[in-house]
Amino acid sequence: MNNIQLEKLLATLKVEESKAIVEYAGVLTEVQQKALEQKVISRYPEATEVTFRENPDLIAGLRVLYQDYVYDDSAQGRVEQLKNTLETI
Amino acid sequence: MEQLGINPILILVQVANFLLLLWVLKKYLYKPFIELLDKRRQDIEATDNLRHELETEKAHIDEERERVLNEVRTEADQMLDEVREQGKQIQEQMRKEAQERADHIVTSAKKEISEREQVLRAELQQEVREAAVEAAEAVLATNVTQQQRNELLAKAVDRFGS
Repeated sequence: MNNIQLEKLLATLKVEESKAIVEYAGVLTEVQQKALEQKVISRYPEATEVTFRENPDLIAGLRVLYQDYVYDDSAQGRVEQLKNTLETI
Repeated sequence: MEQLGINPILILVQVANFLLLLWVLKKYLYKPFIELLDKRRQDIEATDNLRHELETEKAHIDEERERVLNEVRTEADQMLDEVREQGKQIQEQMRKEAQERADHIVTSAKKEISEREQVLRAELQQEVREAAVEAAEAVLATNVTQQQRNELLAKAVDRFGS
């Protein structure tokens, strides 16, 4: 890989790093989407872009991903918590 | 004397004849016979002595034989006692070793059973956990309506950032 390709890859990664992803299950209205976008930027000021994508695996609720941060308020997340709690018993 | 019929010469001759006979008998009959009797008596005495010696020797031999037999019996009894004692000790040793082996087998089996029980219990608990999680996922995936899904999403949106 030459330097130009490397620089392009790093630029892509930087763009990816500043992107926040919101996964949701259900129907997200425009109003809800806008409100959510504001809240994400407010929480993660360095995020330059917020992407929304539907993920039926969440069953219900939403999950926000930004760099290493994960905010999980989904039914699937609750099930994972239940699984982790049962593991400690 | 001739009128009496006694002949002195005849008497002398008969006396000489008698003496000669006596001498002949003594030399050739009486002496050998006496010697024979003496020899026979000596032989008998010798035989008696020999018999007496043999009897004495036999008595000694019998005593010695009896003594040796008693020693052998005593030694045999001692050896028998020792062998019996050793046999008892060996038997006791074998019994102890068998008991130890049996105890070890029982202890090992109990330990193995306990370990196996723990493994099975852990596996069962894991299976129960996985089954509970799968059941929860299945219930949520199939029983949550679209309306409920939307309501939950709205609540999640409200909660985020607050």
